[in-house]
Amino acid sequence: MNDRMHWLERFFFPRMTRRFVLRLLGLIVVSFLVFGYALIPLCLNGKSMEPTLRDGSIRFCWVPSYWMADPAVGDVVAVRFGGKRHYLAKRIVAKEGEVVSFLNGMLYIDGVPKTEPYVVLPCDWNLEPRVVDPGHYYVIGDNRSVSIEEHVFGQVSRGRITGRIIP
Amino acid sequence: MATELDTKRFGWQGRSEWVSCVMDLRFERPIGAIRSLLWIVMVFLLAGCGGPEREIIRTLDRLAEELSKEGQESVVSLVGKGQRIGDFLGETCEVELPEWMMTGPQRRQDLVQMALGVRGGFARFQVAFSEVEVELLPSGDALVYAVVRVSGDSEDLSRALNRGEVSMVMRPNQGRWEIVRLEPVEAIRK
Repeated sequence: MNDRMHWLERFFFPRMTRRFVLRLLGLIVVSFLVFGYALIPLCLNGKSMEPTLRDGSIRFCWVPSYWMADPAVGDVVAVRFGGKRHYLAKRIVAKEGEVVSFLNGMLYIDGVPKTEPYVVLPCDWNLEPRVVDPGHYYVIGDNRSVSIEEHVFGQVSRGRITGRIIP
Repeated sequence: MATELDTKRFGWQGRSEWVSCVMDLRFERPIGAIRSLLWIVMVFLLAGCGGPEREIIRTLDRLAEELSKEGQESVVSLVGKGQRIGDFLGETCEVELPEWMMTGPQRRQDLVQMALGVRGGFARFQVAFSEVEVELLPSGDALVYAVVRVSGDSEDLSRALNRGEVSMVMRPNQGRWEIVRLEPVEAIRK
């Protein structure tokens, strides 16, 4: 019992030895680098990606996923929006040069209807065809039950795509 | 005696303050380490106090304060507010706001009138500029990038997406920085 108390006491009230302080500083630096630049924690606010990503849930954005490779169609990504610490969670549906359009809720890429198993909620969107600019990706949320005017989507530059969101 | 020993052990004599600080951080002399760190912090603070970048950031802070609305405003205060907002704008300011049907050079008074009109639609809101980046151009102007955030008590203003990036060109005029070009940076386009 005494040993246990001693262990608890040492855990919660450690002695400020030089070794402990150095370890603590190392941990702070590593955490800052990892969670600031590689594995960014995101608190989701909004329903535009439901049911894939729930409103209020916490996810992580893995930044190194696009250090060596380009984003791919179907990836759920974090898009930098309004500053360095504010992101949009969206899914990539088209790459540069492709033509995107909606007809009665069905997504068309280059005129071909696209099957999207992740879109569960009903959608009745209509959107004129538009070509994705060079160096850009077209991103849309999975929840298309809201009106097209209210949903924030469209083409974003490659530089704004920060990383892939870990599902 | 102690100083002599220290000198022999660490060879501090003749070293710069930086080296001394690094040596102090080995926790051999905590008071010395704190003193050195304070020196470094003071140098950084002094370096950050002046310069056009600081002036521009302060100008934007004041502009945000003027643009914000704390509550009901009388006609007199509205006139004063319009005048103060106008002080931050050049005589003509090039504005790129296609959604507002505004592109090209605009007169200062028109922009002030528009700003006051927009303010009238809301009871209370706060404007804040953050992440300000300043690039000084050879012409003497400054290219400024900033994140503008509008928050308030109405439903429209409390949305998470009520923020955006703006790109501005600011020009010094009689000791003040004036906005001569304003363009929102489009993050996402339908």
